[in-house]
Amino acid sequence: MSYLLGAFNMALFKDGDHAVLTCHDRTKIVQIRKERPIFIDKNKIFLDHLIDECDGTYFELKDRYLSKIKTDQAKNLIQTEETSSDAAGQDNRDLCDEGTANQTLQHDEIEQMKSEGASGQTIISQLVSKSATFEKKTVYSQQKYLNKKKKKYIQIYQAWKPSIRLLCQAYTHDLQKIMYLRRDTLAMLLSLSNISHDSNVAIVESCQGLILASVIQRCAGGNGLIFNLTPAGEHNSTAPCCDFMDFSEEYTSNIYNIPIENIGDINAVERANQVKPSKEEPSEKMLQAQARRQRRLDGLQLFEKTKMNSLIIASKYDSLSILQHVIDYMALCSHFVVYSQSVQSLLECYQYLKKRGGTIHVEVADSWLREYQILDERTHPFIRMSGASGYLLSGMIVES
Amino acid sequence: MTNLVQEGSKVILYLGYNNLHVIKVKTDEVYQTKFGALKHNDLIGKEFGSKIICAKGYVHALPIVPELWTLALPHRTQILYMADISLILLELDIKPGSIVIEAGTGSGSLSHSIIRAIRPTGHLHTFEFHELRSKLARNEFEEHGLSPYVTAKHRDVLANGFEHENIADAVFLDLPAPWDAVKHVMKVLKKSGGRLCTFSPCIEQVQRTCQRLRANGFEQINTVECLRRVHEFRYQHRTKIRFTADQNQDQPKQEEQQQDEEEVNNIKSPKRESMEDGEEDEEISTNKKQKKNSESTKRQAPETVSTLVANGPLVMPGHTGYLTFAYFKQE
Repeated sequence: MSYLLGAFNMALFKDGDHAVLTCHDRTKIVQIRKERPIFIDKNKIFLDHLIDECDGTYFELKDRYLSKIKTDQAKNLIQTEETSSDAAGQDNRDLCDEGTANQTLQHDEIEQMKSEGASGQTIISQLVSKSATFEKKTVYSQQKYLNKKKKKYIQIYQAWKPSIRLLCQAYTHDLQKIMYLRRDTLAMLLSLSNISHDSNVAIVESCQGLILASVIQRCAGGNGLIFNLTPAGEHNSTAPCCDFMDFSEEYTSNIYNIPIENIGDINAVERANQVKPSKEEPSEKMLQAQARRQRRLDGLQLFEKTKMNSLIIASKYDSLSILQHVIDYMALCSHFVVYSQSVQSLLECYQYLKKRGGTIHVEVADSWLREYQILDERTHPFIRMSGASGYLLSGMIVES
Repeated sequence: MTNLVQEGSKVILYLGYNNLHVIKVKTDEVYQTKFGALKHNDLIGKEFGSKIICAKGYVHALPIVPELWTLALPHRTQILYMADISLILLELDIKPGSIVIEAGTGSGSLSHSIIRAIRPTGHLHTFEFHELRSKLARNEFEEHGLSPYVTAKHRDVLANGFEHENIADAVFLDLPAPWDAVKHVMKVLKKSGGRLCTFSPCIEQVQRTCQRLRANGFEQINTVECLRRVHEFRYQHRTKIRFTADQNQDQPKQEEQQQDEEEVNNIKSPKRESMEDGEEDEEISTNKKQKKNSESTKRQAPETVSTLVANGPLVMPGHTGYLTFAYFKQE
């Protein structure tokens, strides 16, 4: 019973936790800190009231604070009801696009209403009544119009515990940071690498830690080791997504960030230990830095002794040379996956693998992801879709 | 889980791409492959991933890995493949500790991937209304050492619900009429909220499902389709056309030489056939010139460049089904 309570409590937001806020099509990752505001569209917003609320709760912006509102209240505000066809037209034959002239409510009038504290609902009602064309639109067109206005004037947020899915959503407007890794490609990367509890994994990524975070979640601690190979000066490059996920100590104690340049170099650790210790009294900060450095060296030594079950490469650096240096650490029956935005670099890797031998089921694939609008009489794919899935090279290591 | 093949182990024999066979290792048994006979005894004690030599070739012995199992398993129903499976796991937030409900079990393709993702603390409750299929799936889970993580029951969930209440983080439905299961889904999902995925081949099914979901307070409803395209590798040989414009420009001096040589040749071979077409004459003489050029500068084969290329496949999966995802929390 207490386990269940514990599990329920885990779903409540605490001070210091990260949360994902969704509002219409926008997704933002935030950190809840008492009395410390976040900024959305240059607006200062306090998240204090999120504390002790649970996943999926609705909030409205009131006096700079996100305050909880009841779900049915929120849904009434957000959802657009079916309007009667009596108050609508049949088609658009008489509708003339006069641009802004069709809306008689002026911009400064709207601003006036906003400053007087008028609710989004009120503003929208005004817009509808002062629109020259609203009544002549078809019911579907009316709904579309109302939805559009709601997106602009009604600020209702939902707060969620972070998940890999929500992280992918948050990065949709910042894809360059995650090497344009699309969520279906990430999903297949995780399957193809056969990540599971107890896996030994080597990761080389430049996706802000999105892949590392996904792996940490799937391994959930375990007896395996996770090696995050990072170049010099970029040891914290994978921190963002790992921080967002608020992983527990249990999940992160088997992770080693190791300097990728030094793998396979038997003298590297010796050289590092030859650095003369400073004669000054070490400060707290210096001690922490030394501890981190020591962990990197420990990790490097551990890496040399470990056989990997999975290898994931999604790096802005040359994939082929990374693959060549790490492949001999792979165990029999292990899985490798290399992600690239373009197919050319994967062809080089493929050529190398064929020459080297000892691999099977080597595939290079991309994917097609299409989203649909499913509404009565209005079902069709969305007008725009992603055309860039990137490519995955995958395969298994076997006896040659 | 041991790394060595033992008596009773299930092994996937990899003969080649798209050529996989599942066997259950039994002493003294022999499996006939296109490379010759494979003795089970040769497998016992070997590490998974080993190369087994046969009379006319070799095979590799692999463990039951979900992706390969999906390609090799005996189909009792149409199954889900990796593209859909992967997206389902991501969109339903399936991870270690997750409690997942699946209906129907089918041939257990998705089930194997779910189990890999929820180990060691999660659990999969999978239901199948066909008794034999349910039994076969249960046997396979047992043989693959997955029983601790899965409960496979023979049950008609549309008529009788999911047996439990408020336990699931995620529900997956691959049923002909998933809208009729919505009320049961609402009962089985955790009170703190959970996610649903339905898989339907036809758009009409999707429309009915979405209608029912909206009517019952489900949120974040979205429908997608995902298709994977495996590229085919080949060496593309491109021969370069020798454009005479390029050649004539390069070697004006040699041409002069050629003309002299030709005159000499013409004198030597007066029996050249007369041509009707003046152009043809020119062409031939040009060719002759070229030939002479190449003869004089060493006979060169046309330049061919070979590169490894990845081409799209001629045929790829065009449709498997629509995936609809949604969130529900009891209020």
